[in-house]
Amino acid sequence: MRVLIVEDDVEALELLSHALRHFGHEVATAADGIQALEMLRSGDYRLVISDWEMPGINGVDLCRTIRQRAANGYTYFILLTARAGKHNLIDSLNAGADEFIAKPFDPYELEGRLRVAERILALESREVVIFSLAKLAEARDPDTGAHLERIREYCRVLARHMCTVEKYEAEVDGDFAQMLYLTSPLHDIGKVGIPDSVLLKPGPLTPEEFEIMKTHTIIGGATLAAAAEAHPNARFLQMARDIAISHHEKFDGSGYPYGLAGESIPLCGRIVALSDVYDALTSPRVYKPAYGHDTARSIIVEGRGKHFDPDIVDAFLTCEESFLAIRRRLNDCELELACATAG
Amino acid sequence: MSMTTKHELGASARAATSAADEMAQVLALDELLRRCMGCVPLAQRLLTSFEMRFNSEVEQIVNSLHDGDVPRLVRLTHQLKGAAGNVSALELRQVLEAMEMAAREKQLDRVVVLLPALNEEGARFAQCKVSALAALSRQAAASESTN
Repeated sequence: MRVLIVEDDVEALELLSHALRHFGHEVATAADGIQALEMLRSGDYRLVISDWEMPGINGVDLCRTIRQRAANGYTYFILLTARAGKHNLIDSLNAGADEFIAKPFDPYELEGRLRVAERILALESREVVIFSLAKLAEARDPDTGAHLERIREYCRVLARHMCTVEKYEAEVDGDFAQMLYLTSPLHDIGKVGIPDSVLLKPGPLTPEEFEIMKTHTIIGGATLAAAAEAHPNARFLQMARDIAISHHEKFDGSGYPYGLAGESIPLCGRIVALSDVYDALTSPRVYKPAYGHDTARSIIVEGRGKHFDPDIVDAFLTCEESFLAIRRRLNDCELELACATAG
Repeated sequence: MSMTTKHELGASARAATSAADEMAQVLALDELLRRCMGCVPLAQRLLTSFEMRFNSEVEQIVNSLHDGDVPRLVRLTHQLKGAAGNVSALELRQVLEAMEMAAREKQLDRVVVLLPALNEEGARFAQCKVSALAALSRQAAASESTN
């Protein structure tokens, strides 16, 4: 990780740099707050370790200045100081510091804190990546509105219920539910690769056009697979890939792109499949009105064991009230009305 | 072996232990090496440079005390306290912490009272540093021969 150390004491700087390099970090140094701000403008540093007492801008003011500027990403700020006392800790946290480490530092404690920083910065990157990709897909999709928001809410409801089902205990937990919530909006990311003449066609698709449309699963899956291979620790990319490629598979093997059946379809894909269909059924399209919940429910129950995993249909039936509440809360017509009123 | 000899050996071992304990209070060499990630040359360099800056910074502390320049006194005592902490000069750091606190509370008479302790601890540190450097050199030589 690239770390910017701000420290005016030469010996402390050498000690700190040595420890961080020992742990494999890339280190740059600034002798005071002004130089640090200059270096931060390059956008190359997202993690700062700063002394408190320095000439010119002190560590707390440096932190405050960083928090006030409009930066592209979050800067994790660790204040390192020989100042004792709870009021100093409170002052530094109020200025926006993320960590407060007492001098003389313990290198292993410092390294532990840097790992925390890495995890937090990675979370921010993950949210940004998912949000940007989902918005990109949404921009190309005629069925916009709150579709993505509803899908992820439906998915989370189903996954949370499945946490309580013994059969899924090993696979589904709170992390799975949260990751599904984050990644399910990417299910149609592959639509960015579908030509406008097919994607935006108002009438029914010809068989040839439908074959082209079906490739959005392959395009999305391949795109996310490349990202997942490049970042093997980013589990969310693996889940996003599985969802993109498998959310049109059917439990009886009649879906696409590969005709997978039963539990060979990733669980996340099976959950998104039901959520996506429920939302499509209960939302208006150019070729159909929005069906009511009961109609959608009947269609889904009819598809139990054919289109949908029976366990997920059962979960849906148990969570019907939550689906209705989400639909009411994220109803496109009401949202449009609210926006128009607010505007 | 007679009881007396045993006793004498015990006393000498105790004396050695107590000298080591005392040294650890003045200069915690293990802690310093841990902070230096086991890098002996870095530890040696830090000890030497700390001793070099110590006298001149104490002189500046005395001058700021004489001038009644409290902000400078606070900054200098804080700075030297940090440096003492970095080289694990534990007792020296404690004295400087007390001086800094007194300076922050503008109790300059308390700072004056602590000055002899500062000089005394500085002298003890200088003594311990000699044996610490020798120990570090031995350690470096041993590790070279192992490698």
